[in-house]
Amino acid sequence: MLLLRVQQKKGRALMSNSKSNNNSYSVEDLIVDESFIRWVKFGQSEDNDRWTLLLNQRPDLRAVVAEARLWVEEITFETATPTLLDETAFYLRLKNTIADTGTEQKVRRLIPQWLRVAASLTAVLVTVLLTYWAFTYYSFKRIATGDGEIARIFLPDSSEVILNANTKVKYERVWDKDEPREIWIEGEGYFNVKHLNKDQNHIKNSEQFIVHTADVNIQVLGTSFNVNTRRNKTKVVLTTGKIQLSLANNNNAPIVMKPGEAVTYSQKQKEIIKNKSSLNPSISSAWKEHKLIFVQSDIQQIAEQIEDNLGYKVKVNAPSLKGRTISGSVATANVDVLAKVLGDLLNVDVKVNPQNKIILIQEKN
Amino acid sequence: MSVVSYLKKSGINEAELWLTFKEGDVKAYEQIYTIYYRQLYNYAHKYTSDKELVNDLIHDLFVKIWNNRQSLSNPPSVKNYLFKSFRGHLFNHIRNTRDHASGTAEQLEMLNPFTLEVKASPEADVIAFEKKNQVNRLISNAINQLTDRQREAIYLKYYEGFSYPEIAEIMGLSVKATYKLIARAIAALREHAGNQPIVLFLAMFRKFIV
Repeated sequence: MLLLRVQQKKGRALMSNSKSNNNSYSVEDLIVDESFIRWVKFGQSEDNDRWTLLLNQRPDLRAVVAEARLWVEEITFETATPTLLDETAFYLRLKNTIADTGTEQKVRRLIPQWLRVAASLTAVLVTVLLTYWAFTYYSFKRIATGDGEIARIFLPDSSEVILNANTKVKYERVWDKDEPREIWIEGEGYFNVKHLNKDQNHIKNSEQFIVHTADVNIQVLGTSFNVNTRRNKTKVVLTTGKIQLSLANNNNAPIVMKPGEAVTYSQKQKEIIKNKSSLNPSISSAWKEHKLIFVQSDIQQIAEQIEDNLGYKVKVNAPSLKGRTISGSVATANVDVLAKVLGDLLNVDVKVNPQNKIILIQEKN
Repeated sequence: MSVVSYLKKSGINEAELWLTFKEGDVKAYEQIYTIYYRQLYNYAHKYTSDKELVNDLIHDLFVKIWNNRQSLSNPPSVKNYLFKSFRGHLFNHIRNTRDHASGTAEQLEMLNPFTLEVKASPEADVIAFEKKNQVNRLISNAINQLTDRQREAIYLKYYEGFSYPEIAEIMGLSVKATYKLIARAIAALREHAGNQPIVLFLAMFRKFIV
């Protein structure tokens, strides 16, 4: 194994000439060879011919090639590709913008005057209505994430919001200097609100920052906190600063939160539970680093976390897991890795079905 | 293959394409933005996940290029020119829309993270899986220890295949500073990856266009 071999060779230079004669290939030689890399990644005919020929002539190289393949297959950067829809929309939009700056077309006078007037008036009316509708709709900026997607956005005041999977936010595109800063969220997000307040005794409207969820309103001046509105509950965990939390449909006195505290509001029970969390608040925002942290979680809680953060439905059919709890952290960047780690931790079989987006947890045979 | 050799293979001469576009040929212009849209999208996405913003910025860049086509120079590398223009455009936008009116260029840069993630590919074989998992964690960990500008430089060099002078132009640095930046990045990667031949890994990140 390359890893093991390199660790044993601590004293020697790592890039010593391993290609002393043309016929000897080491893993290091292969992984920097453009043709080899291309062959592993794309298997094109010219490269394929060369390397399969070599392997046939030199069966002793099979282990080296297999290991080099592993390295090359593993090493790529995550790429962001636009969807076909986005791409087509982009081209059309650009084409239109360019066409507007092009030359004018000659007008042909075949249509009677009155018809043209009627047509223009209708067009004007429709445009006005559409503009009005678009204005009210688009005066809000809306952002939504999909399954397993984490996005980072900046608000007009440069506050930062990190959105977890399957989350929607909306906020006005232009923020009035005399109005509080407001944003609506559904899903889960971590907020880093920019502190604008200069005088504690005199708080201006624009220095307030309000997060609206379906059930609660969170009012802050400049803080970092996690908001989770999944499963008919709103849970707010405060990392730094101070929060004033009030219920959306209630005029009772608001709750003031301090760092480390967590407040959960349940829609069903219509009540607020406040905990002075002994847990590190970063546990509830570990999702930002593509991790899930479990603290004595049972299988039900684990399943819910996976569903919320990865967008996979979890089906459990393992009686041995009843009453068991686990504590630990799993990486969520890759669902297959997560499945394997979970299976090992719980000593069960965890199967992933990528087409239907289902994870099946069963007893091991 | 680099962009240039890909174009050659497809029978497209980029220098000619650029000249034709400057003369106002819409088809040439369309070819140019079709070739570079995805690359710029990927690059922009490392700065912000806001897809709407990314599309707006790329759109505005290409509109600007069309409108000013007659006064443009003939860059030796269109890709380099586009990346440099785009980056400048992105930072202008940030300066205009955020509350950083008083920030210097450096301060502005420091406040803008560049995200680089290593892709994890699944493996059915359990043993191969373990090895891959190890490698991935090692490299991701090392990359995360870099500063944003180091990450961006590594990305431009090893993924996009730009030369040092080209990277210097894109990032607005002197060539000497660019060498230093990348040398520091590699040293930092070595440090965080233990004895692993991290420089070899970097060679594998090279993007290929099929």
